[in-house]
Amino acid sequence: MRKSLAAAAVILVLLLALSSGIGAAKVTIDFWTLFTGPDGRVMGELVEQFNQEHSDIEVVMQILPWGEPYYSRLATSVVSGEAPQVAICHDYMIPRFASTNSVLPINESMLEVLEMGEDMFYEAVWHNSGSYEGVRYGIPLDFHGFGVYYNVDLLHEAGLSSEADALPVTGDDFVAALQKMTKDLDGDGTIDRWGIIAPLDWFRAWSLWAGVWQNGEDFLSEDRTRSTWNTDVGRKALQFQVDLIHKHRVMSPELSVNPFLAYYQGQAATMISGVWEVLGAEAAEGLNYTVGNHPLIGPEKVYAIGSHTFVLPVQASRDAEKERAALTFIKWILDHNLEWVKAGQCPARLDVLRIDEFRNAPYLLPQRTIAEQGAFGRYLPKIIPWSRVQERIVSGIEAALLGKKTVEQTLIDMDREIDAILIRGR
Amino acid sequence: MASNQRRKYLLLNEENPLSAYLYLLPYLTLFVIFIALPILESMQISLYDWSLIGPPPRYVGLSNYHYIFTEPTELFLPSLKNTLQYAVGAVPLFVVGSLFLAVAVDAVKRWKGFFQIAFVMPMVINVAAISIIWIWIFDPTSGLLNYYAGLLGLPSQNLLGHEETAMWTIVAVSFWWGVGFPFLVYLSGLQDIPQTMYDAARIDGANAWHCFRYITLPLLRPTLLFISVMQIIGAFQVFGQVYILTGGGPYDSTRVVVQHMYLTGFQYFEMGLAAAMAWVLFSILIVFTLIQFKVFRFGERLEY
Repeated sequence: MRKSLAAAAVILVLLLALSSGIGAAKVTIDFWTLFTGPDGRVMGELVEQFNQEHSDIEVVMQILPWGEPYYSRLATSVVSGEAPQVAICHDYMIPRFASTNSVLPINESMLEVLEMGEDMFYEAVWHNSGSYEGVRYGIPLDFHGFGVYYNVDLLHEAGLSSEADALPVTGDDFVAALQKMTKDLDGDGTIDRWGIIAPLDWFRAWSLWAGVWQNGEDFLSEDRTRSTWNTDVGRKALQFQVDLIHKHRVMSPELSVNPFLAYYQGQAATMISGVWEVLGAEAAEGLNYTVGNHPLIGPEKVYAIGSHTFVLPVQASRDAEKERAALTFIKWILDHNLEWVKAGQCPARLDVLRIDEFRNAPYLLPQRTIAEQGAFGRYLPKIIPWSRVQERIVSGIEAALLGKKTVEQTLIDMDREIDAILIRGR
Repeated sequence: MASNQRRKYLLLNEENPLSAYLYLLPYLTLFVIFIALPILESMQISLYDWSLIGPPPRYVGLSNYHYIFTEPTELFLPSLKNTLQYAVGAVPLFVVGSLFLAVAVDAVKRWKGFFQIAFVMPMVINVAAISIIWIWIFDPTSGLLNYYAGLLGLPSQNLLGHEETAMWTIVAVSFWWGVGFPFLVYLSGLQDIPQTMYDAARIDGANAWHCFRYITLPLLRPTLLFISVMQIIGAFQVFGQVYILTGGGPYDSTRVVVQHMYLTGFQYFEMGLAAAMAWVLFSILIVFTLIQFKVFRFGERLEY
């Protein structure tokens, strides 16, 4: 009895020693993302694969709700010294976190660890995302833009081609196509199939500033201290959206917080959405779809794009080992960029653009189409209160589309509200 | 004897009022640490310019209060107005509507259990889940409501998409979701009223209305006070369902004050402004609550 007890004790001590040995060699890092859709599953699988291939690093991924809740959690985690070692951050949130020293600058030696240089990346993406006031804080994981999802059957029914080079390019072409597809099916005098379903509120905002850029102007003064929406170009861009409803009558006049279903069910022939919508479109039963680029409503070929970037949130105390593990993880994920692209994003890495699968696979059509925007892409202005500015634009468009305000009044109010935010500066 | 003596201290009776505080102590400790102190701290925050991350808080006196009341582009007052609109719709509906339901269910002879469960059931569903269900029901193009409206030949509706109907629709959804709690409280209040009173009144020739007006209502007064205080507080704190159903839209017409506070604090990173708003809201609620205590003459005993 006593003997077996002693033996058990020895085994226990050995086990403890062994496990603590393993524990010491293994670095655990936390990774926060906001991928709440099917893209979160893809990222989860990548993390799992990384963990299997690395006996010395354990990455624990947490998915937090998209949007404001995510960024407020990230901010509070930094304040309380409980921040994850790696987090996903939209390019437009970089100024907020960089200006408050909440994320680490990415220096040359870190890039060396990553064996990464700018030649690895899509040039426009590397140069225009992840930096604030000349300092890099984020490493781009991908980029995304908006396109038009067409219902191929309804295109054909209206006598239109679904070939990539036959899809509308300009705003006028787009409206003409929508007019052909908008129908009163039962002949009761009301339209029951719309050319386009009114996009989600903030998608409309992306279209709006893209419209301003396509006409060669900007909606903020060059020094970023004044809002300049109320100009000929601003009015033209907003008028284009209002006209889709009130003049051309090709867009559903009723705004919904979930417009996707109407497109998936064939109640609208097109929808505007991001490249990430591909997984939803693939899953929609009986939907035969194709994707064209966002229409251009001005002479310049410019698209509004954004990126998810990796950031290294500031820790209570710096730990070189964890930092190195974090960089190793980022590098590995970027080496599997094509897998991530399949979750509905355009690649940050240049070489992915040349991979056969990316160039030919039918299920990567939206990514391929939107990836062309990279070279003509423009990122959001790098200002700290960006999300607040965007909220005012979203609200203004809504008032104009619902006829609550005229186009001009909307833009005057928008300027006034945004100016107040810019003055406050946070 | 000694143990008896000791036990005496733990007894909760009129001789020994202190023991009540002893029992409250565990809760009070947690209350002070996690609720009272943070509330006091938020008073301090409201006097500072603080963005949560970044530079340390800077004392600014009352200027946060000044800003939320005077800055023309600030949405605090409009959201307060929207919240008031919600309260005007929701409070009477909850206070009277659930009383009506409780009296009706109390009076039915059969299926009582079924009705009790039916009205209480939505309460246990998570706010996000109920909001997403109703978004789908109300969807202008592919929603259930318009599907049935179409079958009846009625024009399709977008109740959440227009300023005129959005807030009232939120009130209706909130009632459907939240009726269970006041309903249950009323029901238990009704069951405390002795049947003998009704029997006596009937003998004296009272009809159903007389019974309700002169027996049920007066004896339910404490319950009514409780429910209306809770409903006013609840109405001013409405947030979850609004945030998901409309996000405050269209064009901020359903943005409510707690939502605006949340956005100000955690999206705009203006903790000082958000704390100031919280204190203004708190003051409003205290005033409303005191008025109600007066109206319902709290503390007066009513005996028949």
